[in-house]
Amino acid sequence: MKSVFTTGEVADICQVSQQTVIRCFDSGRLRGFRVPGSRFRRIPRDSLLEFMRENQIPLDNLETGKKRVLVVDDDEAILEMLVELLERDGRFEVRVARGGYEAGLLTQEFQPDVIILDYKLPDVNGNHVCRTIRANPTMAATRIIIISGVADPDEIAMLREAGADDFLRKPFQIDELIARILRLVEV
Amino acid sequence: MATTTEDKATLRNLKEEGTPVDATQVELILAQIESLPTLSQTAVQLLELTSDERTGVRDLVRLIESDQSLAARVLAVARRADRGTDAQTIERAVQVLGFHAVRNLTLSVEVFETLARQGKEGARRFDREGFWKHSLAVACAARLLAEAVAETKNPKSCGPIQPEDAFCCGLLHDIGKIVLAGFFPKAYDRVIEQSEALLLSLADGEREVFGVDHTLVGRRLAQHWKLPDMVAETIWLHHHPPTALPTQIRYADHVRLVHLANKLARQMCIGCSGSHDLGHEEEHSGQTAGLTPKTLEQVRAALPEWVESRAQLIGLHALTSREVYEEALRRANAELARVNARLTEANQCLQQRSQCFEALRAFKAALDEPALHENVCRAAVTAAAAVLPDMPVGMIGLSQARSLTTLAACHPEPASPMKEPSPQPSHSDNPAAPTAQFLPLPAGLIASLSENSNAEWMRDAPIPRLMQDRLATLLGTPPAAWLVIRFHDVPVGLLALGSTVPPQAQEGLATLVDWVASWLGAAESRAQASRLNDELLDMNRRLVVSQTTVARMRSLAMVGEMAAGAAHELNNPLAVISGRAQLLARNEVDEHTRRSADVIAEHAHRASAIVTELMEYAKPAPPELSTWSIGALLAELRRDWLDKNILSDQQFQLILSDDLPLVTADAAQMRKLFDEVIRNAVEAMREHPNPRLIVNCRGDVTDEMLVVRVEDNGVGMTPEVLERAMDPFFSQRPAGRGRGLGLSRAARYAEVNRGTIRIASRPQEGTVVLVSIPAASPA
Repeated sequence: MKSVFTTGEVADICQVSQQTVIRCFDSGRLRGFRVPGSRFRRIPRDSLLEFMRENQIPLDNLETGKKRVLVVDDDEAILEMLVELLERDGRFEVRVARGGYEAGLLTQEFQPDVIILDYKLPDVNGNHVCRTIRANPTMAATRIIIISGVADPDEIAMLREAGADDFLRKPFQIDELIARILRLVEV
Repeated sequence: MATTTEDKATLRNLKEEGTPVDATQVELILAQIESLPTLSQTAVQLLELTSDERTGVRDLVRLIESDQSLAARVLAVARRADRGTDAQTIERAVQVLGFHAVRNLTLSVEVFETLARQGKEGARRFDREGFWKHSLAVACAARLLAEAVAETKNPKSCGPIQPEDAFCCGLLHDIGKIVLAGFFPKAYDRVIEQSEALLLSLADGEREVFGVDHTLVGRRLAQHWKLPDMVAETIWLHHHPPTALPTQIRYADHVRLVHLANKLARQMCIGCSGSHDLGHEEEHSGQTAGLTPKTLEQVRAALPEWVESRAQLIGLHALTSREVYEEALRRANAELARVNARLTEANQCLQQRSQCFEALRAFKAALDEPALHENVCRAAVTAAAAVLPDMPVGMIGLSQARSLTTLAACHPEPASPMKEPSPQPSHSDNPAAPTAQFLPLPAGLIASLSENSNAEWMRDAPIPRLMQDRLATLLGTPPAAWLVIRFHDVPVGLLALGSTVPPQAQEGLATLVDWVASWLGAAESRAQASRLNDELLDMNRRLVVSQTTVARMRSLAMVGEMAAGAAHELNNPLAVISGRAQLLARNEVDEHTRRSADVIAEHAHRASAIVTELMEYAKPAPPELSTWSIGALLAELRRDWLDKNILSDQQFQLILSDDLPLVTADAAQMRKLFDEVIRNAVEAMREHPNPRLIVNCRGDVTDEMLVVRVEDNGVGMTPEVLERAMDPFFSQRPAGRGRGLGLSRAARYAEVNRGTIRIASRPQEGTVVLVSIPAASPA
């Protein structure tokens, strides 16, 4: 996946002129860097996303335009089911992780918009995952939905405090899940 | 006689240490007699006088007249000896009394004076005066006996004895004692001690210590002084049994006479012989001497007077027996008077004690066993009033165990106690000391009544001013004295007295206070014990309750844990089932498949809900308390149920009073609770042709709880079912027709909202469910 863009690419994605992009870059409204030894401007993916959101530019043209969803669960059947229902929906690009550690690695690489996180993981606890992600400023835009078989109010409060954005009980209605994901990423 | 160094040492030991000597050293002792001063010149000359009547009398007269004091005494004795004679001169006296008499008389006076001067610093325990009185008594007795013998003319009697000879023999019979006592004071003290301790005759004691007795020593002295043989023999043998005298002695009659006289004197306790053995053969010796008991009696009667007159004569200035008698009589009278006074006093005391005793008896009789604190106080006041008549008496009793203060008072006139128990705290804000003085009882009467302990009492448990005022009102006067009543050093009450206590009543009062203290203490102990008992029972009850609660909590915790575990384990597969079913339904499938998929998904969710419900039962969410109207909730529920068309408007009655207080509880949980209860009732009436559900609501007696009563006329429950009605998953309905968590969940909601659910039921009659909910506390 592309992580650094040229001003031309940004102009295409945002559907504005390249001059506008350069002006924004030079004024600091679009953060980026210049290639060492030349004057070429480069824009990292996250600052582009930030820019687009700030200026309420539709994200559809960034990459595929699909929302990246990372599903973290140790239950293979759940993973399979979730992947199928999210991909069938068509609006999501889905990756899976089977534990907290894997989730951490994938989050760096995949830069998901939403993480669907099972609370009880075999290796790293769900709220630990939440904290790690929240501690990383480059993932400030990543939303976390906890799904769990148990809805203990105390635990939910603790997860929210650790950085979870939403909570959903298993079993769930498919429509409800998709609605929650969209609500989180499209605001 | 020369003595060796060794002999001197022995003697010194005997003299200074009183160490008994060896029998072989008796001679050493006897030799000491040689060192005694000789008799006066007069006495020596007297002894030299022959019995020649003519020359003798003249010489005797001259000799006596040469000594003025001697002459005076001889004349006095002569006048005394024969009352008919008025002897003005010695010569006349000699004529009247006879040569022998005058000589013996003079001799005895001389001997007495010599020996009386001898050894004044002698044995400390030796009663010199008593000794001489005894000697004189024996002398007089011997003289009287001699006269009596002469009068009897009894052929059996002993030969005639000159009365003055008998007197002389009697007077000198014990001189050995004074010699020993004079020479060996310490040893003689031992002798006296021993005879006293062992009831020995002095002679036995002497033989024990000296190896020789006063008879031997006296005889030796008589020989030394060349006293007449009859004197010497009397001295020597006067302790001998009269019937066993040696045959060769010349003056056996004198000996017997003196022996008898000695007995008489000792019997009459005139003077002190120093002997402590008891003689019994006096009758016998009397008969031996030819004397009747009657004669002896006469002698006895005359003896004191004789002793008296002779004592004056020979210069024994101590009191004679008659004066002793009179003195004794006087003393006795005085003593009698004192005894009388004491008796009178004792009588008064006894009266006082009797009064006190009567008061105590009444006190005891007034109290039941076991007595209550307030009854003890009342009885105590009555008793104190009886001990202290003419005085208002009041009492404050404190019972810590019962937090009770009792006031009681009693007045002199109407002897009826008034009582006012005041159940209020013993301590007041105003610890001011009462103005009255504490009663100054004699020290030691009641140890705990010291001023300090009073102060302590005041500090420990100050008498509330209110109490003092009320007591003063009851008494009619401010108390003049306070008396602390303590039990095991703990103040249990205060006695207030209208005036000071008379001395004679103090002991009685102290006794009463002791009694009251014991009774109050006992009452307090009982109260404490019973309170502890109550507390123990209560503790036990609470323990049982909390044990049940703990057991219940433990099982609930287990259910909660299980449910949580089950939720995790079950909800993942249920999520897959549900999710897959939903996906299936979205496929391009026929209607039937889609419906099946929907049902699968729905039931997966239902299964999950059961697990959730169970978890909620085990660990309900904390109630979100708010204050609301129960009437509104019940009315709303009734509408919902009527909407279900199971019961008609008439079949579901809701009765609400107008003045219902609001309740404070989680409204959502309460709604679920009543929904469950109503559902249960509706289920029970399912088969009933004419179901009737009555819900009414009222405040309970304390207004702290609001009670909702839900009554149905359904199938009811057997006691066994009723007992398990609120167990999770217990259901009376056939298996598969309900989850059975209904009522148990309702009970759980009531519990977390500090309410209760109680169920009463009879099979085929119906069920009543009572739900109490905390009423909102008034603003």
